Amino acid sequence: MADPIITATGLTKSFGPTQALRGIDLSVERGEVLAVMGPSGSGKSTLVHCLAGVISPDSGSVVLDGTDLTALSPDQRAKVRLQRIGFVFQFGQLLPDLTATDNVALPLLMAGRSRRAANTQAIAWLDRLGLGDHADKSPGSMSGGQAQRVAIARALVTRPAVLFADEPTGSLDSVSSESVLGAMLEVVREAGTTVVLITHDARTAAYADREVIVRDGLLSGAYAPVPA
Amino acid sequence: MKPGAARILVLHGGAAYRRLAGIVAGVSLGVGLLLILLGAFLHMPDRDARSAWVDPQGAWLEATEDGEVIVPAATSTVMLAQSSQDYFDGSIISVMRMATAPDTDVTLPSGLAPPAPGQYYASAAMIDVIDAAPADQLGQRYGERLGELPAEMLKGPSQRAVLVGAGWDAVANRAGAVMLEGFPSETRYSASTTFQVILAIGAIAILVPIVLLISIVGQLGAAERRDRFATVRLIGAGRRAVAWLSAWEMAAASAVGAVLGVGVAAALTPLATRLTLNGATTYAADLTPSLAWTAAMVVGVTALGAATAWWRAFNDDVGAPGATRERAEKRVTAWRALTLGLGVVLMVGSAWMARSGIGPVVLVSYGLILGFALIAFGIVIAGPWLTRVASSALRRFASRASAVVAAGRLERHPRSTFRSVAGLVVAVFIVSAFAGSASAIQGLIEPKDRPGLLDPHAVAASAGPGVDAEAARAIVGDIEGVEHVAIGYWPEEDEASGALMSRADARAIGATDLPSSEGAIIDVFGMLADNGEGSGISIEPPRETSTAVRGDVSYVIAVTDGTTASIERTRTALFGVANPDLAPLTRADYANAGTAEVTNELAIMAYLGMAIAIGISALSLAVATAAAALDRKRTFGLLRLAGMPVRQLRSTVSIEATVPLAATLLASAGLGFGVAWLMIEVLGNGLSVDWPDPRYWWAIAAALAIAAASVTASFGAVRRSTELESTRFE
Repeated sequence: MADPIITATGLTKSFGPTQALRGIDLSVERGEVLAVMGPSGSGKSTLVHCLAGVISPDSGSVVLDGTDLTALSPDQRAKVRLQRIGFVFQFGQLLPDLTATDNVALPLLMAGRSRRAANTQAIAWLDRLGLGDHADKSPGSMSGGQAQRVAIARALVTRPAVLFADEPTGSLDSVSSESVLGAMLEVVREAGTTVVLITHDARTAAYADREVIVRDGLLSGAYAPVPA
Repeated sequence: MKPGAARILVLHGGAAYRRLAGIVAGVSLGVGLLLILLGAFLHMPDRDARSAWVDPQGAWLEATEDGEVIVPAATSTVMLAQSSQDYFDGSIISVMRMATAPDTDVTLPSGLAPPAPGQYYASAAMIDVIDAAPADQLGQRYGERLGELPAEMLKGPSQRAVLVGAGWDAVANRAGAVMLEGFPSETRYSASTTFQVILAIGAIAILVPIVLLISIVGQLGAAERRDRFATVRLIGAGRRAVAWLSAWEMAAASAVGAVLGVGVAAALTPLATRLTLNGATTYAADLTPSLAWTAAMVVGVTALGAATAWWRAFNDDVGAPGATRERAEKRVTAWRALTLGLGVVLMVGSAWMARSGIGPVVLVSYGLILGFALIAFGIVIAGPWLTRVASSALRRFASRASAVVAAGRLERHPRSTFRSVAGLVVAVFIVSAFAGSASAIQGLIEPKDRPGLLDPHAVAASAGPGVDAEAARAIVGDIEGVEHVAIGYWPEEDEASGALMSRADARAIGATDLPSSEGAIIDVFGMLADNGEGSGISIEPPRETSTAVRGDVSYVIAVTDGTTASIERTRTALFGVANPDLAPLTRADYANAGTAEVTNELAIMAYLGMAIAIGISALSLAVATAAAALDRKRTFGLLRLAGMPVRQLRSTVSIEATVPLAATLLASAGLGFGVAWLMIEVLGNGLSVDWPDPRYWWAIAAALAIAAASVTASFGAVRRSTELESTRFE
C-alpha cells in the first residue's frame, strides 16, 4: 500500500518571464530515497524549494505529511520546516561563528529545547557521524567532508520526516563523497527518514531508491536507479 | 592597472556607489566639524588679545610708605586704566575705567576717541541690556553713552563690556590702577591655553566617532568586495595593485569629502557662533581657519585616507576566490587593557603628586591630561576585549538560539561589533567625567539650610571713604523695593574684624545667634561669601563688642523685596556710596563670580559634544547593523530556511549590539566618574562628587534610546535581505 509523505500536484512557478516549473506532479513515499536529477537551470532546485515550503508555487499544491503547505502562512511554513524538515546543501550552510556542537544544537534551541538537552543530543549525533573529537571546532577549521557531516547531523538532529539534500557531496572529492553519502544514508534509513536528493551525479543518484529527471520545468521521467 | 579596469572594479552597482557616498558624507562631516574646531583653536589667542583691555597689564602706580598712591603726571603718551566687575541680573559685566591727558595721543582700536570723564562705550550686547532696562536699574551707572565698542575690541558678540572714561586722579586712586603706554593689548591673565586643551579634547571626542563611522561605511559590502578583489588577484593582479586600487579609491572619496567639508563648515559656522566659549559667543571669523590651514586639512585628510586604505588592503591580502574561508578576527587578549591601565596609573599618579606637592605643576598638569587621553583611547582599545569576555560568558550560559548565534558572532568578531558602539562609549566616558566634576559645584545655599548667611535679596556695598550713614540710609531707603537699609561700621578695636552693627540691622540682613549687647561685630564678608565647604569661607559667629564707639561706615546693605528690578535699582543707587573698586553685590553675584559660570559653559560644550558624538555613533550603529545583516544574508537566510522566525533574527541583531554596549558603557561611565572623583576629591578643596544633574541622565537616556532606534531601524534590512523568495540556497 503506497504511503506518500509528499504529494505535489500541478506545480507551476515563474520568476519574471522565466517559467521554472510548468506543471509538475510528484509523489514521494515515506522512507523513500528519491533522487531528483536534471541539468543546470532545469528547475530542480525550485521544485525542491516548493516541496519543502521554502517558496510558494504560483499554482498547484504540496501536501507534506498530511499538511497542505500551500495553504500555510510563511510563519506556519517556517514552523513546519523546523519540526519536520531537514536541509543539507553543497556548501556554506554552517554558521562559521559557531562550534560544531552549537551548529548542530541550533535547530533544537530554535524549537525551544534547553541548552543542556540540545548539546547532549548534538554531541550524540556528532559521535554517530564520527565527529566526536571535533565537537568544539569551528567549521573553518574542518575539512569539507567533516563540515558536510556536521551539516547532516544538524539536519537530522530534530528527527525530521523529510531530508532535502541539494548536491550534498558536490564540493567533495570522490572518497569523501562516498563516505559522507554512506554515513548519511545509513542514519536516515535507520530512522526511516524520507530523503529528496538533488544531484547531477549519476553515481550519487545510484544510492537512491528512485530517480526523477527534471527538464525545462517538467518531469521527464522516473526510473529505478542503476546500482553503482 | 588601467583606469577603465579600476572603474569597473570599484564602481560596480548601487552598493558600491552607496559605500563611496557614505565615505564622502562621513569625511565631509568630519572635516566640517574639525575645521570649525581648528578655527576656534587657532583664533583663541586672538580673542584674548582683542579683549585684553578688559584686564590690562601695565605698571602699578607707586605709593608712599603709608600706602597713599603717588599720582603720576598726565602726559600725552600714557593712560591710566583700572578694571573691575559689575553685575546685572545674574550676569557679570566687564568694566574698565580709563583716563587720559587732555592732549592725549593714545588712540583706541578702530579710531575711537578716548572717552572723557562721564562718558562710556559699551559692547553691542551690553547696549542691548542697557536699552532694555530702565536707566535707574543700569544705564545711570556709567554716564553718557558715546558709542559702541567695535568687534576688534571684543572676544565675541555676547561679551558684556563697558569702557568708562574717568578723571585722572579718580582712576589713579582706584585699587589695581595701572599706567600704560598706549591702549592695552596684553592681558594679565589668559585662559586661552586651557580652552585650547579643552578644544583639543573635544576634537578627539568628536573625531573618534567620525573615524569609526568612516571605517564602518568603508566596510559596507565587504564580502562582495573581497570576492571581486579576489577575482582580480586570480586573473593576475598583484597585491600592490589591489592595494593601490583601494588607495586611489579612498583618495578620490576623501578628497571629494574634504572639499565638501569646507562647505559643511561654512554651513555649520552660524550655528557654532552661538556657542559660548571662554565667556562669550564667537564671531564667525574666529571659527574659520586660514586658507592655508584649510588646504592643509583637505590635503592631509586625502593623504591619510589613501595611506590607510593602501595599508589595510595590502595587509588584508584577499588571495584568490574560493581559497579563503570565512575568517575570524585575530584573537583579542587582555593586553588590550594595557593602555587603559596606563591611563589610570598616570591619572592616579599625577593626582597623588599634586596632592603631595611632589614635582612641578606643569608635569602634573600634562600627566593629568595625558592620563585622561590614554583612558579615552584605552576604552576604545580595550572595548573588543571586554566584548569578547562578555560574549564568552553569554555563549556559555545562553539558552536561546538567537543568543547562541549572537554570542558566536561576538566572540569571533569583537573588533567589528565593538566598533559600531565605540563612539557612543567614548562620548559617555567624557561626559561622565565632566558631569561628575560639575556635580561638585554647589548651588547657592539658602539661609534656611545654613542660618546666619546674608539674606539672598540683600545687596551689599563696601562703603567708599567718608560716607555718611544717615545720608546713605536716606538715598537707598527711598528706593522702590528696598525693605531695610543696614549700616556697618569699622570697629575701633585693634583685634576686631568684621563690621560693627546694631542688633536690628544685623537681624535684618540675616545674622543669627546675636549677643545680648546693643551692638555686635558681624562677619559681613563671611555672610556674603560662605557657600558651604567648597567656598573655603565660613562665617565667624557674631561677637559681643565691649565698645559702642563706631568708626567710619564700612558697609551699606540694602535688603530688597527680591525682584530683579529692585535689586538692580538698589545696586545702581549704591554705586553712589560704594567703594568705587567693588560693585555692590548679592550672594548669588558673589557665587557666580567664581567657577559656576565657567563650569556651566563647559557643561554646555560637553553636552553639545556628546550630542554630536551620540548622533554620529547612532548613525554608525545603524549603518554597521544594517551592513552586518546584509553581509550575513546567507547565514540569516539559512536560519530562516531552517525555521527560525524573523523575531528571533531580530533578537540576534539586538543582542549583537547590546552586549558590546553593556560590556563597556557601564565601565566607561564608571571610569568617567572615577576620573571626576580623582579631580575633585583628591585635588579639590573640600569639594565632593555628588549625583550629576538631570541633563546627564537625559543625555544617557537619549544615547540608549537612539542606539535602540538605530538597531530597530535595521530590522527592515534583516527581513528584506533574508526573504526566502529572493535567496538562493545551494
